[in-house]
Amino acid sequence: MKYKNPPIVEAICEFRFSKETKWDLTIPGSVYEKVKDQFPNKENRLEQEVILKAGETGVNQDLVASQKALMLSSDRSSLIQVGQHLLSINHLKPYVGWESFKPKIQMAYDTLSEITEINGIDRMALVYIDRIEIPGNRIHMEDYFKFYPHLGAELPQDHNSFMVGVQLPYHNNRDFCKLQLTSAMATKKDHVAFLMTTEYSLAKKNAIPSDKALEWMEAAHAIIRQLFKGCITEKLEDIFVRLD
Amino acid sequence: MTEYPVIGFYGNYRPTRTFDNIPFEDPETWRARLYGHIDFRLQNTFVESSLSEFIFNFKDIVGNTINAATIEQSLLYLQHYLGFRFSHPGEVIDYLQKHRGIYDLTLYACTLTEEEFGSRAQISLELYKDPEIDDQYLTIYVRQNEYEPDIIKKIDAICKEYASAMTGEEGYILVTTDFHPPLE
Repeated sequence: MKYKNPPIVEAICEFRFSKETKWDLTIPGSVYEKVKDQFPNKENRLEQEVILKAGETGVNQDLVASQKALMLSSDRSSLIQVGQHLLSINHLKPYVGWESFKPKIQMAYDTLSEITEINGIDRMALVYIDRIEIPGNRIHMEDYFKFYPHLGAELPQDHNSFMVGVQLPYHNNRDFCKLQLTSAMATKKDHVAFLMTTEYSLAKKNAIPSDKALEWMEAAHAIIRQLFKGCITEKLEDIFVRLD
Repeated sequence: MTEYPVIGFYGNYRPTRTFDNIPFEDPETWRARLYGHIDFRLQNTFVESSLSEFIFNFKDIVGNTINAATIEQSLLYLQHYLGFRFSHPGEVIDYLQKHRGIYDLTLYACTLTEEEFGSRAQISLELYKDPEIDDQYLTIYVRQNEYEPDIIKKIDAICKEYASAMTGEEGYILVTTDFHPPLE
């Protein structure tokens, strides 16, 4: 499934490692030293993380500041992020395919594995974000999508902005895939725009051993690909222009 | 049949969380002020059903890696809820995708500008491209039918409020005016 105008605006592969994985402040710098040929631009970012804690009075939130190191390719279209027990590999458009993204994931993961022993994965996810623009001011959703807000015959058929989502279980709830479609800002005149987010994630901590993480990613990618194909019609594929 | 473009509410299928106890004395006070500002602005303008979804989405940036969807949703909110104009939204989106370090700072500058000028001006978020050198940056243009005599002073005060937070960032954002009338 190759397109001349692929809709992908970002692909994200994220690992959150267990607390048993040894971590210290030198790790981001060590990763950078090993990847700087491909990711020469290094930036640091202070981010704030909401920690939800269940207590006697209900769920409380703590805001914790955390430092993240970003290593970007020279054209800033791909990046590696390293934070506390976190590794994320992002690829922005132009996205040239899984064949190109997967080696980057492998390289980043192997690099981190050489620096610290990975003792458990709390969460990992593969996310694809697609931006879809369709010519016209009024469209029939069903002409382009097989996943869209369905309004029964007794309801008004015209609608405005929307957000629809569903969580699909896989492997006896070991994994989830969140599928979401929302309206977006059109960048072309007389077009309507949508964002489709497909997030396949590991739902059970440590259910996948660290040496099987990349196999899991490969399987996640196959499912995402299948879901994407299942969400769109041939008419929408015509807009992307199929190459194979 | 579906009609676009649109102004409207988002479905609230996700559980709503509240963030009342975010410590606003946090070291990065501008960011805390941004959250406070948006909470206040929306609570005084919109009904709760739309507010909760906005707050949920906006505050997703806390604790999650900023991604393409977060950026796009935020810009959509600026357009729908705060009336921002985007001449070339694709350029703004692309710039923020590649300069995520100034993403929430951009929202902060936008909300400060909207707070200062609100309905008295057209506020437009654009990508400025220098014709002389290879340089581009985000620009918030304030345009009025009749320009207030102290507009530059007001704009300077906004820039002063957020400028120091750009230190060390690759991206850049400027609030200014070109003294043109509001665009169609």
